Amino acid sequence: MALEADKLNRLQDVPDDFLKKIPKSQSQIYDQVVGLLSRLEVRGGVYVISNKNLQIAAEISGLLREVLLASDYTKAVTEFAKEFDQQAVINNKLFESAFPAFTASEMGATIVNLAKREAIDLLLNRASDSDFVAPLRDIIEQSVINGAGFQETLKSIRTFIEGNQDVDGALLRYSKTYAHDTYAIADRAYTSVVSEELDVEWFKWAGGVIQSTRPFCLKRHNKFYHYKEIESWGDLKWDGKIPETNSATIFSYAGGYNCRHSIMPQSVFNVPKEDILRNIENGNYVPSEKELELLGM
Amino acid sequence: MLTIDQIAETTQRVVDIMRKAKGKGKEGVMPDYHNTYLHSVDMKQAIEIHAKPGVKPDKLVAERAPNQTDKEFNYALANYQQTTLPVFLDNVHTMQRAFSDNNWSIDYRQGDDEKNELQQYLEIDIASTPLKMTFDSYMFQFVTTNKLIDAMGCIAYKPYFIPTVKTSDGELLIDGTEMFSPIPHYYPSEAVVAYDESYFYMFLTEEKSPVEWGNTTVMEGLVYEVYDDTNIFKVIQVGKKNDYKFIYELYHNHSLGYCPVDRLKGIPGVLNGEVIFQSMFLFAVPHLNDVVLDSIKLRSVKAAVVHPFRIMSGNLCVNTMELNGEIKTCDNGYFHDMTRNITHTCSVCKGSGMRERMSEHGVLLLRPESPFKENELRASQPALQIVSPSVETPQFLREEIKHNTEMARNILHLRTSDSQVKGSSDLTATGMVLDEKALYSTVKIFSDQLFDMYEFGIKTIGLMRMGDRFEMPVVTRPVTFDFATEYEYMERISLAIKNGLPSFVVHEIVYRYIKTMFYNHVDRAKVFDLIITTDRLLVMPNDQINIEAAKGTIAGWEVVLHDSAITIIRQQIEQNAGFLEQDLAIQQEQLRAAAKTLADSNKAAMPTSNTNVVDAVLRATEAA
Repeated sequence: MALEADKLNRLQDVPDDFLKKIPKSQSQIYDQVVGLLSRLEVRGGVYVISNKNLQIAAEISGLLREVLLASDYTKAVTEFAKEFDQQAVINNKLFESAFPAFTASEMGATIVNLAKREAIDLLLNRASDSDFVAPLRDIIEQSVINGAGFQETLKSIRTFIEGNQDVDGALLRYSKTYAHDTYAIADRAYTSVVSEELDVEWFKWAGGVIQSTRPFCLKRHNKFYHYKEIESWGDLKWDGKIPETNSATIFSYAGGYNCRHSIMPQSVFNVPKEDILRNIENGNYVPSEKELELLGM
Repeated sequence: MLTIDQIAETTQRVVDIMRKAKGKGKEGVMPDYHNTYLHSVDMKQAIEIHAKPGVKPDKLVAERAPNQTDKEFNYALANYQQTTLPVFLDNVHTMQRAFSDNNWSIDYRQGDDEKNELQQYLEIDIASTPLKMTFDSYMFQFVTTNKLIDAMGCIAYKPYFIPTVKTSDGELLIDGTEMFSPIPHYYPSEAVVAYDESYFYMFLTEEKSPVEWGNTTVMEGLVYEVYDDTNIFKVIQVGKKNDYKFIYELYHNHSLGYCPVDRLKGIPGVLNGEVIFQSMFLFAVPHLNDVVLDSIKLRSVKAAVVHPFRIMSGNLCVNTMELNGEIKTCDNGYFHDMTRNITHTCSVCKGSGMRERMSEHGVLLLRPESPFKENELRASQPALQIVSPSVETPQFLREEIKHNTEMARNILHLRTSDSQVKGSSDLTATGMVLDEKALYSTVKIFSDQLFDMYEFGIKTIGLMRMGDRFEMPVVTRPVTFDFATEYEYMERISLAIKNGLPSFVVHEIVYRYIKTMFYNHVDRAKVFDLIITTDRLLVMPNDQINIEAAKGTIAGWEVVLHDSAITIIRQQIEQNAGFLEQDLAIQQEQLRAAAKTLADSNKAAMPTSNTNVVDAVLRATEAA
């Protein structure tokens, strides 16, 4: 139980810890960008509209990605990525305790690596380019093109990078979007692959309930299901469902965006009898004579 | 080796030619001492007009132009300015670029702490002799300039004095304890009165000997010097001036085995069966002569243009003069004395028959209107007109001058940094390259000949002074003759990048550009040599660098090196003062290492390509 609790708590805590490090990186990046902007010519408090300034703005834009990558944000992403491996370790311990036949899965390790790569690529490359570098570049270049005020531009850039009491900084904003999901999906993907290798049939829709838990997850929270029941939900529609969710991918995507639930494999002996009976009745589960005997049914 | 008889015979022949020439015409003619004499002197004098300050173009303007009055001609000549001198100066400077300090070298093979004896003499002691400059300065400044003026002139080497010692018997002997101090001496073409190339030369010196003239002794006797493979003789006129008798004194027995005389040389040719050298500058002289003539014409025309003529109505001259007791009035500018049949020019109107009507203050006085005379203001012709020649003529002359100057510069392949003057203003890119190659070829010949003379001089001086102890230093001659201007190089670099030529081609042009910029700044040249040969991103546009860095084909330290090469090199020099003296390979190695260290410490090596970023972070997670 402690292990399970640890695994589930980490689905919340690890991304949260990552996100806590971001504001410091944002300040760091802001300082660097201000340093770069000091190269631009200002006259009477506004940026001079000149070929030289446009050239400098273009050069600064070219450097933004480097500034981002050189900041502590990269270190934070690295630390976050390491937690994927740790999560796999915990999962392995859980599997060991529940399934005597379990051995460390090569496929599972590959899945973890892929998930890590995907998360890193998303946080450092794709999302950073589209949600951070590109908009910041636009702010800078438009400020020069339109001869915007120097102070006004700095304020815009500060708000964009560091945020204020009303809005998060850009890095934090998009990291929040992706951090929990990438981590949770990685955890679930690993679990799914190992479960498949172990021919696990029963799962628990485990996890914590948070303020934004959707009805889909709330209804299934901490309940036990046969894998065929879970597969059948792939075709349902609900708010927050990740579009690519289907009978196979639901084991990774679960309830969809921001879903903190883990579809944890269970031994049949941990499943409540009513859930077993339900699935015998609907034909999902055909127990062997031995299993029936052991289950006392 | 010549015998005294042979020298005497040659002297006699030379003097006979000289006397014969003196006797011709009122001022004499130039003596024709040998087959190439007149032509050599003509060439020199033709060039001197454009090369030596103060030389007037007398021969060139001996004939007046049609319609040119004596007054106009004399005015122009009196005010003649040598406007073609800059072309010669540019030619000299272009040649001298080949001898910049880091383009050649000489190794006297001395020890670290001592100056080689020969080096001491050539670089220091020789400047205390009548030469008054170091041997290098003499060769690369004086000889370079005169080589372009007087290709048939000679440089002769002799000790500038013979150290002697008096014995107890009063006999004068050569002092064997003191080394000879040989110096070069220039004899212009006019002074080369006899020669058999490389075998012997006879020069008319500027020295004069005492000879008898009437009852007095005058210093007007001729003194010749004769050089052959063994001796240097002085041939000195003595006795009566018109007797032309000579004595023959052995000045120095050098015993070199070769004649210590070198021609200035130039472009070789053949004249009357003899080899003759022509200065490359000679080929530009016809155009420059046209410039001189047009400049003279322009000067006279300008005077007429800026001093216009006044045409105005005048009054009849009423000057009177007493002739044979009778008062006569000026008759159309003259007074006729019928008695003596003499005509006198009126001293007031100078023969014009008219008087000016200008008042003292330059005011033209007009007659008032009267019934008998129309007011002059209403006359069809104005009372006063100012007339001057049109400016078309001076403009035409200016264009001609500009055209001919440009042609001359073109012939000499002279360039300036001014983009308007690049030899020929309509030269295509191909033309420019061909032009540069032609200049390269010209300068190479010039440089090779000059260094032949340089080595000849060192050897001759060394042997004369040190004898068997002489060891010839090693001279490394210039190998680079790059003469495009900075502007032309920038054009070429820009074209090469625009046309997408391979980086190594652009690199090569940048390399030559920087060599041109810093050819005479030794340390700066070394710094840029190092950068050029180490920074492979040198000519890559920044965008390309970013792309290649993103793809991972450029390492972070290479970007650091590209951006901060000068700073890193300065740091290396601060740590090691002899950094630039090391082998280039060692400098490169140290520069790369420093760039790598800087890249690591500044996180400048952070990969920016997407794939590299992910891989780098993944590796970091595994390392933990």
